[in-house]
Amino acid sequence: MKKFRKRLYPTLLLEDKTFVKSQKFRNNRYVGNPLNTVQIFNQIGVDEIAILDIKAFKNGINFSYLSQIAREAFVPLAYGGGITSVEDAVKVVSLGFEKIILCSSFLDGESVSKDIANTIGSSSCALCLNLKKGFFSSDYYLYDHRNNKRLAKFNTELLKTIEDFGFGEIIVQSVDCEGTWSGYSKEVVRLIEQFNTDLPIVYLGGVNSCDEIKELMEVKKISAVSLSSFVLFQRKDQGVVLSFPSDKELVGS
Amino acid sequence: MKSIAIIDVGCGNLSSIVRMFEETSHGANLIFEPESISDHDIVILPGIGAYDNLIRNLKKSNFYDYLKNAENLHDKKLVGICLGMQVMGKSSEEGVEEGLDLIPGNVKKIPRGEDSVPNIGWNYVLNKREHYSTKHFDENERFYFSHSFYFDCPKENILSVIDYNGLRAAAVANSKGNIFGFQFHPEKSHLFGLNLLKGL
Repeated sequence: MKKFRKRLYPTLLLEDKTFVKSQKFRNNRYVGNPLNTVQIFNQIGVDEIAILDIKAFKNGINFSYLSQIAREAFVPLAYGGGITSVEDAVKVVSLGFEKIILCSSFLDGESVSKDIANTIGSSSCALCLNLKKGFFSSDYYLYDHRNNKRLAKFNTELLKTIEDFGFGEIIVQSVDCEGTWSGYSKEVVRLIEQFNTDLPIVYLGGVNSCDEIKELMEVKKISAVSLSSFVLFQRKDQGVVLSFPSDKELVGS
Repeated sequence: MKSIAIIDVGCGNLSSIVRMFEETSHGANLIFEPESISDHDIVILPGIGAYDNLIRNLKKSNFYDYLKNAENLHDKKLVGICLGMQVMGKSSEEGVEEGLDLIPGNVKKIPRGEDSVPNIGWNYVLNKREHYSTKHFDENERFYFSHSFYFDCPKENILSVIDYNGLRAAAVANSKGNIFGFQFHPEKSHLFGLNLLKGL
């Protein structure tokens, strides 16, 4: 029986009730009102919408605003930012987000994700793995967005820990490509191809054309592709124009 | 006008379901105790999360014993969504609690294969048995799934399937057809889901 194509969805960065877009995790630029933006992507009928609150680790989760955002979407929603407990996760899900995304807790070696997965299910618990290339080597390192620092070197043995920690999905983001329009990171994709896990892997960072989306969708290990600058701006360094590739443009993928 | 209730035991994306019903002409009420079921024609049992967690919450709120007795539902429709459908079986490999046993079958882990597990994403569905809720499905109808486990039940209880490391139940029903459920999330399946809920 026929299968639907791989998942394709926007990732949007929330900062104080606005959506912004950064480049390599810096230079945040305003891109729009979250309620309008989510409404537009909902109307387009994207496969999912992921929202990452990039300040929530400092300021806490703005539950009431998330609730307003959730009302605008009849497509799956994922939320990441500031989740430190099972209670936070359950509350975010109850507001209408089917999936939560963790990052900091994993970097800090905390296993709260296990308890979260045991409560909301591992398919609703994703890990955002931000990978940054080493200065003088071709190795990749875990990146801590809270203080802009490289942490431990990434090796594929970490995947076992990720599975043990209860995660049901891994979003791999190339920090070096984020917001740059430079194209996706071939090196990070090669790394993903070596992942020894059955978990779905999402690629995020740098994608700049429909041809690239098609290429990524052909990578066996990749289950989904997420887009950001490409669907927010007309082109690199140009104005905000929300758009999304149609299925017609992705034919052949 | 049909009256719809959504069971609220603190598990799942209740706001999304309420919100989607606001878009249909029915609307829906959240209910917190089994006594409220008698005031409604259709009862929705939602669920996101772990199997034992939902069963235990149903027990705590007294819904478990009430729902387990199918007689209580003879003139109602009970509709499970995702985990809410899975707890309608006898047991699950995900937990140790006993299910509601309203639809024959057990919940099992999706086997390894070409497709990654969990299944997170959109799938086309194919009808296997006629049922009023799924009769409008055509080949372009697709729904959003998010699950690591699937309902393994006899052929005659399967309404529709998806292809995910083999054919897996997407919708199931008891023989009478008044107790049924969907593995996918209609409330998050855009117009496809809206049409489904409108037709309940």
